Amino acid sequence: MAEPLLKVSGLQTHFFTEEGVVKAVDGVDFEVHRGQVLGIVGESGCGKSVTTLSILRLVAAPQGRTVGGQILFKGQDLLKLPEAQMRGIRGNRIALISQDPLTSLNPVLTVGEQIMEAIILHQHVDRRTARKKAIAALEAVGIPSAASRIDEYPHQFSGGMRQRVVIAMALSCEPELLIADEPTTALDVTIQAQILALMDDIRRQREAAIILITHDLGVVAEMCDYVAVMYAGKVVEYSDVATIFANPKHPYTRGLLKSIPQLGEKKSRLVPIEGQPPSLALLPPGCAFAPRCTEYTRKCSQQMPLLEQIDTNHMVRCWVTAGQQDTPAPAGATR
Amino acid sequence: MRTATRAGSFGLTVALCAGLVACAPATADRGAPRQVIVIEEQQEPDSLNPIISNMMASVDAMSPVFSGLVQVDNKMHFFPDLALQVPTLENGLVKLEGKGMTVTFHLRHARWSDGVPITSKDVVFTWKVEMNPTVMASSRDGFDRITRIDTPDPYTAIVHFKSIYAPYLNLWGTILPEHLLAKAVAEQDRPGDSHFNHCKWNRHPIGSGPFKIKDWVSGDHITYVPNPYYYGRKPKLKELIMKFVPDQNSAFIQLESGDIDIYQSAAITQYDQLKSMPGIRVLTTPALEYDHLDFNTRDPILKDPVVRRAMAYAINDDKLSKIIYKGLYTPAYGDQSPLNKLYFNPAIESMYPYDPAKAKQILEADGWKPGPDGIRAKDGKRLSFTIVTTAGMKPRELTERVAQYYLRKVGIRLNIENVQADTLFGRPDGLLNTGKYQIALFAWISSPDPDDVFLWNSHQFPPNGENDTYYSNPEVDRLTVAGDSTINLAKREAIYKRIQYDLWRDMPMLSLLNWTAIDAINDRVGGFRPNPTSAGNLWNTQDWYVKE
Amino acid sequence: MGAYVVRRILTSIPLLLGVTLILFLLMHLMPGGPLAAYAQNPHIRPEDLAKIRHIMGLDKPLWMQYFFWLGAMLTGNFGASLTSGQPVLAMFLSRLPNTLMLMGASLVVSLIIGVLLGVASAIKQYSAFDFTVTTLAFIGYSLPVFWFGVVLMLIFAADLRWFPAGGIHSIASHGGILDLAWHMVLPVTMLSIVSVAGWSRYMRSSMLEVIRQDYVRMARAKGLSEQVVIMKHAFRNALIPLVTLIALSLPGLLGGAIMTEQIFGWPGVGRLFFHALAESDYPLMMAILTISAVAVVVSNLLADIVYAALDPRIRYD
Repeated sequence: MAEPLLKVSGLQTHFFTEEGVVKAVDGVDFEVHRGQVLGIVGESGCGKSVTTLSILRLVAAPQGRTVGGQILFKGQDLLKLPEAQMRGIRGNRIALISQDPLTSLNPVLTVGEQIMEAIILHQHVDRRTARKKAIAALEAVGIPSAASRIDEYPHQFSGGMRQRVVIAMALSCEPELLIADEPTTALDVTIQAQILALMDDIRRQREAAIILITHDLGVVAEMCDYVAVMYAGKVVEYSDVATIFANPKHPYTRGLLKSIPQLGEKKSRLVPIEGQPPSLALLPPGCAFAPRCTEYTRKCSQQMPLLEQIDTNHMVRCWVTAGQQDTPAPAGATR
Repeated sequence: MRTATRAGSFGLTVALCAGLVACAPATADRGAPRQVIVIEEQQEPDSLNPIISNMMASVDAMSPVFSGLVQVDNKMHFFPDLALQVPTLENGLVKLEGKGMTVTFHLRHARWSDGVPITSKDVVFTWKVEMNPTVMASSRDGFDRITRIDTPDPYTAIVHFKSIYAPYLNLWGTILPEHLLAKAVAEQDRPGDSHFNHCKWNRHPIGSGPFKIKDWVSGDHITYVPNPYYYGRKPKLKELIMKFVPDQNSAFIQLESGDIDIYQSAAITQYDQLKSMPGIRVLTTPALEYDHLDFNTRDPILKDPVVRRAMAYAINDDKLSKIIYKGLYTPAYGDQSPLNKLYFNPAIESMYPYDPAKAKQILEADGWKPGPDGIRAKDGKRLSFTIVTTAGMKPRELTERVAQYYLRKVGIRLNIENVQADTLFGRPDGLLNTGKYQIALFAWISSPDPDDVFLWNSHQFPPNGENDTYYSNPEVDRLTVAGDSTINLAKREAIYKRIQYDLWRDMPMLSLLNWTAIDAINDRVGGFRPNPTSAGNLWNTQDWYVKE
Repeated sequence: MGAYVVRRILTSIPLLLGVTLILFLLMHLMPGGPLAAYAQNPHIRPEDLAKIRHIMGLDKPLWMQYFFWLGAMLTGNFGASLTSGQPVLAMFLSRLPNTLMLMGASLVVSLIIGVLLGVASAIKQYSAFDFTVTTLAFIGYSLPVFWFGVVLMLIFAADLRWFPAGGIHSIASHGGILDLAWHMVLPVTMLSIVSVAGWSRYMRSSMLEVIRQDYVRMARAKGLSEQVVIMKHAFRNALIPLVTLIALSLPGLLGGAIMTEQIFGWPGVGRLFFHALAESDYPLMMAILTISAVAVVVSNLLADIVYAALDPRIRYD
């Protein structure tokens, strides 16, 4: 297999707050290849969004810092780039589509201005050219009469149209990697489908890679090639989409899959996972999922399991289901 | 915190005005003595029309510009100004005619600062303006006793009074130019028009004094230059500047930095610091104002003179002055100022020494016995009074507290209830004017020529007159009228000394302290002689100079 | 927009009438009434007072007096001062330029400094700089102005002799612009310290609010430099809430600053008003209060209009 476009390994991003160190991301590994969609799933607060911000190096300093790991983009470690070069990558090679189209557009600037500024910055063209390109970008995402609407302000667009503007903005410089952070959460169902179809087109036509953050497994099934399941700042399972759905290994993944209604099932009922996700500031030793786990063993609460490769393209972080060997505990620890 | 703030503001100010210091004009150090004196004035005059305004600031600002027939010097003596002599009975220029009298003024050949001669017509005009009903004259007292003024020639004015009027010299402090103002007086009076009450002349008057106004920058200063037509000694100053400095701290600093040369009526609290300021002389001048307690003699308890006398014994004036006025104010006796050498009766000074034992004794003898709380009472009436003064005036409020302390020691309670000036002095419905008070603390200014009818005659109860203690004594009634209707100095002296004695014995008003004015001046100033009378400190600006 | 402005102006009219009515009644309720300035003068006799009362129409029924007064004011006739006899409007106008200069300069200075400090301490939130600015702002805000004015004067006028201790012009030089600026430094500093504190606080919190917004993160994600992100995306949005405050501070430009003008002998409207109060010069007081009331209403209107211009989300149709 070719070199991945993006390879994240051992990523750690911590927040140093007055209450203590919050390990929002603490061991994230995955790869994304050209033309593929990687889904990152998990409950709210599991570190999905912080992971994407870490890739763009937009974690809010000084409290938040990426303290470990590598982010190789086309073989180059983004964490080691000078800020000026990093700015050349943001919005240009890697673009972000953020969660809420209502808040991610600047209310006092026209949509055209907001699209054009990135084009002018990265492609070094004059305003007229940038304007043409911006109109093209708006047309490409299906905004009717783009040439006139380009001078309108965000509040003059509907929610779905705004998300299209955000996508047009992200696509305007033809990025190689698109990070979409729950792009459809704030939209109603029919608009959701349109936006997803639009993103699928982009992947196909432009050979772009997409990281799609979502907690909607339906979206994952429909869109993604690979899936990384996150829990409490860590990737707990990583595989191709078919494997995840057919043969989930991690008890948390299984719980997630049970919690979505299956199409075709007559009795579609949600099975929620019992309990609450742990506080990231006060993580217990051992597996963070242990307190909620149905297959809990004593070992689970003593030592954190590693992300273990159990098959080609399938990795799991679990003592029980991955059949990991019991590492001999130091004397006294098992007493 | 104090240091931090200083440092902070310092940095900011430096940042704000980097270049400005460099371009500062060199006023602070004026180098060689220029004949320019800057005098501070706390308030800005409202008008420079001598008929209309009676603010002290206006009097000061007008003094250099105007001259009168006769003026009062700093020793309270009249001296001739536009007149060649001060008219008196002795020199024959005052004549008694039946019930009335005539006063003759011979004018010198002088000119207004626009070059037009000053004549007896201007004297007549001044009187007519005072009496014109459309003119908002600040006072018509005295002018209303004049029946006519004869002008046999341009330099003689013979004033006919319908009755004897002793303070006849007080009326001629300023004379107005008819040729400039006749038209304004004739105008119809509408707010803001060209009528005498509002006309432009009121801000840029043409007078006959040693100086004339060069310009008046509203809110900042007035610049005076010598009047080339002045008939007296030529002013030595090239310029006289009156600078308005509303804040006394600012005035203090400006005196220190040399921005002003004369700081008038400094605050008592600044006295010690001013004394130790190098290059500055501090002048303390006894003033004509005195603080006093008015007793409402219609009050059921205060009508008893023994109670009022007991208070005179009980309050220690010397201590009062030391506590509040650094000992600069002097104990006051009666209603005449000791500065008024002719009329003041020194015999009354020893009548009420500070003697709390005596106070208690006369109260005991009068039947006022201490109650369980120490407050004296008789027939169920207690010696508990309410005292009122202008709220917010610190020294007066302190005076009340000190009086409260001394009176408590002899078994009298004072309750303090202060009000706004309007509520106390307002007419027709102020507390004094309606007699709705027990004890009031405020100040009177004694006049060089006493005129006691208004204050002490029992026909002058408010709202007709100013006898707000409701003092009534047939002898004093007779004496006040008699004093008003003679100009024989010996007779007047005897009458007013007698009135002082009667008043002090009956005690409708307890005088507390005579004021003292504090003026601080730069050593370079010569010729400045504070004048305690209503003429003010700028009465002799023609004599001011800068020392070489 | 035009219709909105017209509607706003129309709704201001009853408001202004109410204000004038209250002012009018207050004047009559004051001790001594409208003629208090004369009533204290023992030389003015009751019959003179009655005559003045009649000339001024004060013996007419109250409601009639109100309408006379209102009518006169609407035609620009604010009457004559009881102390100087001059038309009060002329007195007000003669002081207005000085006050506009002083207050305008301090508004501009304090706004620029305050906004810059606020932005800087917001982007460097919790840094040593931020703590210093915050502490100084609190000190500045709680400084008693009269005390601070005297301290400024003691240091810079008395000790260092850098600046004059008061007034608007040097006696020696007449009316030079540099001389004027030199005299303005201390009073403007005094006024600015307090307002810089306020503006920087407002700006800091407004900026912090905006910096957390998604669109600011999006701007960064586009690869824009920090400077562009702050100035183009964050700053303009953070200014919007400030505009109301600025517009509402505009009437102060007319009213002046009583304390500062008094301490530094600045011949402005504030000192004129103080004089009017002290001397019970009601026509003067009423003119200043009425003009201020109109200014407040106009500024409110202005605030809304500017607000709309800055924030495209707001359209008054």
